Amino acid sequence: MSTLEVAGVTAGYGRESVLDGVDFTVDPGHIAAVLGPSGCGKTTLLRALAGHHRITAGQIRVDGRVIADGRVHTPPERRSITVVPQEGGLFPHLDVSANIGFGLRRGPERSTRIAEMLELVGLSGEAKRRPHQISGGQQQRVALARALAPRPSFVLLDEPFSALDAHLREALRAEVKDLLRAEGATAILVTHDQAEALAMGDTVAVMRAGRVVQQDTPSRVYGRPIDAGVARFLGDSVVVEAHEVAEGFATTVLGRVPVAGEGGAVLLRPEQLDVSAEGAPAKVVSTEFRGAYTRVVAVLHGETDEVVVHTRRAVDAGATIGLTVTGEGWLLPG
Amino acid sequence: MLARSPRLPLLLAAGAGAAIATVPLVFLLVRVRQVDTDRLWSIVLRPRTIDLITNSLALVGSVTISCMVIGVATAWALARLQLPARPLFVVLAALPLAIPSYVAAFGWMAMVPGIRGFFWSWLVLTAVSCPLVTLPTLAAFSNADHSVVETARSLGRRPARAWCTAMLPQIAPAAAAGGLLVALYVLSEYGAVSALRLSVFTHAIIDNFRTLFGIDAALALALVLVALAVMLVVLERLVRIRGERWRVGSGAPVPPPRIRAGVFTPVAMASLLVVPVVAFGVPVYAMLTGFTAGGRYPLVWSEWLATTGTTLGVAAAGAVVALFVCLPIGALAARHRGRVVSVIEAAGFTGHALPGVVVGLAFVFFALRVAPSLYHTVYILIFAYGVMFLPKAIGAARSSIEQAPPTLTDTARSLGRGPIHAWWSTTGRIATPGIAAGALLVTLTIMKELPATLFLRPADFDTLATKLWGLMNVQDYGAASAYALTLMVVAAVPALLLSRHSGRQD
Repeated sequence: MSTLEVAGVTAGYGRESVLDGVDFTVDPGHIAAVLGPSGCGKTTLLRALAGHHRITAGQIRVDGRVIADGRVHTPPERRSITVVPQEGGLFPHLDVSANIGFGLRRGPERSTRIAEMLELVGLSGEAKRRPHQISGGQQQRVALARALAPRPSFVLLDEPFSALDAHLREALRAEVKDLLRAEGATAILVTHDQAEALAMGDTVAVMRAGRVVQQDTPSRVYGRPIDAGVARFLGDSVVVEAHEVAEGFATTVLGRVPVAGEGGAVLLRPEQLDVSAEGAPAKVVSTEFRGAYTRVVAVLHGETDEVVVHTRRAVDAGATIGLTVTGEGWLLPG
Repeated sequence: MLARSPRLPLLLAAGAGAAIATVPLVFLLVRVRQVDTDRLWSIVLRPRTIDLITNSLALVGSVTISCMVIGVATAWALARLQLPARPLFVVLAALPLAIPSYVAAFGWMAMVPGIRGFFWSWLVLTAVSCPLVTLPTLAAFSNADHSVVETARSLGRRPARAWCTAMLPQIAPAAAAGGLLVALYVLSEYGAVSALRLSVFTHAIIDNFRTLFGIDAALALALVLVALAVMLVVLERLVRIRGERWRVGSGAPVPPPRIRAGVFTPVAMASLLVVPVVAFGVPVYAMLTGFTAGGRYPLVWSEWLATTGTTLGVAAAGAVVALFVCLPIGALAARHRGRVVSVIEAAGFTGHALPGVVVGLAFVFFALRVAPSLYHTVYILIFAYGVMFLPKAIGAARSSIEQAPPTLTDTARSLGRGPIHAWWSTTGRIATPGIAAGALLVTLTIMKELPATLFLRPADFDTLATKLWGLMNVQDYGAASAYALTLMVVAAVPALLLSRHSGRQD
C-alpha cells in the first residue's frame, strides 16, 4: 500500500506542452479517477506515471520517494506501477495464463499466483486460450489480472471499458471495483466518462487543458464544483443568479434557496428541481422520457437561459409549470 | 506513441542502412559526372535511343493496359461469381508469378520455334504480370464495403451506375497501383524481351556496355531508364496513399452473396484458364517434354546439384545482407514519423526503382572505384543482391513490427522487464515470423535474378538463372529444362504464399 503524490508535473512532445503543472494525490488502497475531455492530457499523464514519458518539471513521489522529476527518471520496470491499457492490450502470442504470469518471477509461487488470479477474475477454465479466442470483457479481466498479479504499488487503468458495449461496461465497472478492493490495490482510473469516474473513484480529479482543476470526493465534485465548467462537465446543471445572500439563503428567480459556499451564482442539479402547481412559473420547451424520469427543458418567466429538470410527473411541451427547489444549492466561486 | 523521437543508435543504424541502399544510385551519378554533358545529350537524343524509348514505352503501355483489363475482370470473377472449385482458380490466378519471365519466353520458343518480336513479348509479359493486378484487386474486392452499392441503389442508381460510382472507386487504387507495378516490371524487364529479340532499353544498355566505347552510352541510357522508373514508383505511391484514404469505418464488411452465372459458368471458367495456360501451362509443358526428350548434351546431375547449391548459398548470403541492413530501417519506419524518418525510408526503397540491369552497371562502377580487387568476385555479387532486394526486406520488417502494438513493449516494461528484454519478449517475438518469411522471400527472389548476375558474376560462376540463360541461348532445351523446372519450384513458393494471403480475407 503506497501513497502517490504528483506535484506540478509538466510534460509535452517537443515544444508542445501537454501537461502544465498537474497536482493530485492518491491515498493507499484508494481508487482515484482522473476525469477529463479528450485532448486534456490524460493519456500523457498516465504514460508519465508509468514511466513511458519523461516529465520536464515537477515531481512524482511514491511514499515520499521521488521516482521522476526534471532529472530523475526511474525506468518503467522499476516503478512497480502496472497498466491496464485501453482495449486490454494482451500479448497476442501468449495464452491467458502466460499473459497473467508475464510480470511474475519464475519459481514455485508463479503458478500459484496465476491460478489465484485466474480464480479471482473467474477465468480458470480459459487458462490455455489465446486472447483472440476470448470475449472483449474476458480480455479486459485478463488485462486486469496481469496488472495485479505482481502486486504492484499502483495499477493504472487507461479507459479500460471504452471498447465494451454499455451493458458490459456497467457490469464490469462494479466487478473491477470489487477486484481492486479484494486485492487491496491502489488504482488510478483515467477516463472521459463522468458516470464511470463518479461510480468508481474514491476521489475524482478533474483535468482541463493539462492541469487538475479540482480533486475531491465524487459527491463533492458533482455537488460543489470549483466553477461552471467543471459543473457542466459532470452533468446537466442549472445556474441561476443569486440576487442576495444572507444567513445561508440566496434570493433567486426560483425563490429563497438554502445555499453553501460563496459566490454570485447558485448551482442546482436537475434532480433538485421539481414540478408543482406553485413555485416559479416556467414555460416547457421540450421533454424527453428517460424511463426513471422525464428530462424537461424549460425557460423561467422573465429569463432567457434554459433550465433542466428531472421529474417523475407528466409534463407537456408548451405548457406552463411551476418549479420548486429541494435541497441545498452551491454558490459557484468567483 | 508515434510522436516519441527515435533513439540515437537506432537512427544511426538506419541512416547507415539508407546510405548503403543508395550506393548504386550514387555511383551511377558519380560515374555520369565524368561524362561530358553534351555527349550525354547527344547519346540520349540519337534516333536509335528514341527508337528504344518508343519500343519500351509501347511495350510498357500495352502490357499495363491489358494486365489491368484482364486483372480487374479476373479479380471480379473470383470475388463475386459462384464458381465451382473457386479456391483452385485463386491459386491458378497467382500461379504465373511462379514463372520467371525469361523461362516463360523460352517455353514458348521451345514450343513455337522462330517466334520473336513485339507481339510475343506482349503476350508473355502480359500473362506473367497479370497477378500483380489480379491479387491486390481481389483483396480490394474482398475488403470493399458493398453496402455503399446498396445505398447507391436505394438512392435511385441503376445497378451498373451504382457499381461504377460506389464500388469502382474502392478497387481502383489497388488496380492502379498494381498496374503501375506491372509498368515498372516491364520497363525493367531484360530476360524475356532479350530472348524474343525485341530491342528495348535494358537490352541496349547491356549491348552498349559490352562494346569498348559504349560505356558512356550504357550510362546515359541507364539514367533515362532510372528517371522513367522513378516516375512510375512515385506515381504508384501516390495512388496507393490516396487509396488508403477511402477506407472509413473499421470492422469486417459483410460480403454480398455471390452471383450465379448459370449457363455462363463454363465460359467464365474457361476464360479464367487463359492466363494460367499462357504463362504457366505452355512453358511447363515445354519444359517437361524437353526434359524427358533430352537435348544435344545430356544433363550432368552433379553440375545441376552444384549450381543449385551455389545459387542457394549466394541467395541466402544476399538475404542475410538485406536482413541486417533492413532491420533498423524497418524498426524506425514502423514506430516513428518525421522528415528524417521519411528520408531514410525513401532511401531504403531506392532499389525498388532501379532495374536489375542498372544495379549491375552501378556495382561495376562501385567495384572498380572502391574495391577493384572485389570486381568480379562473389562478394560484390552478394552485396549487390542485398542492396537490390532491400525494399522487399524493409517492407517485411516494417509491417511485421507494425503488427505488434508499441504499447505491448510498454506494458512489458511496466511488468518489470528491462528495455531490451521487453522488446524481445513482445515486439521481437511477434515480428520474427514475418521477418523470417520476408528473408525467405528475398532468398527465393535472388535465386531468379538474371541481369545483375550477368553483369557481376565471376568468370565460370553460374547460378540457376545464368546457367539456364546460357543453355537456352544455344537452344539446348533438354538440359535447360532441368534448370527451368528447378527455378519454377523455387518461384512457386512465394506465389503460393501470396495467393494464400489474398485469398484468406474471404
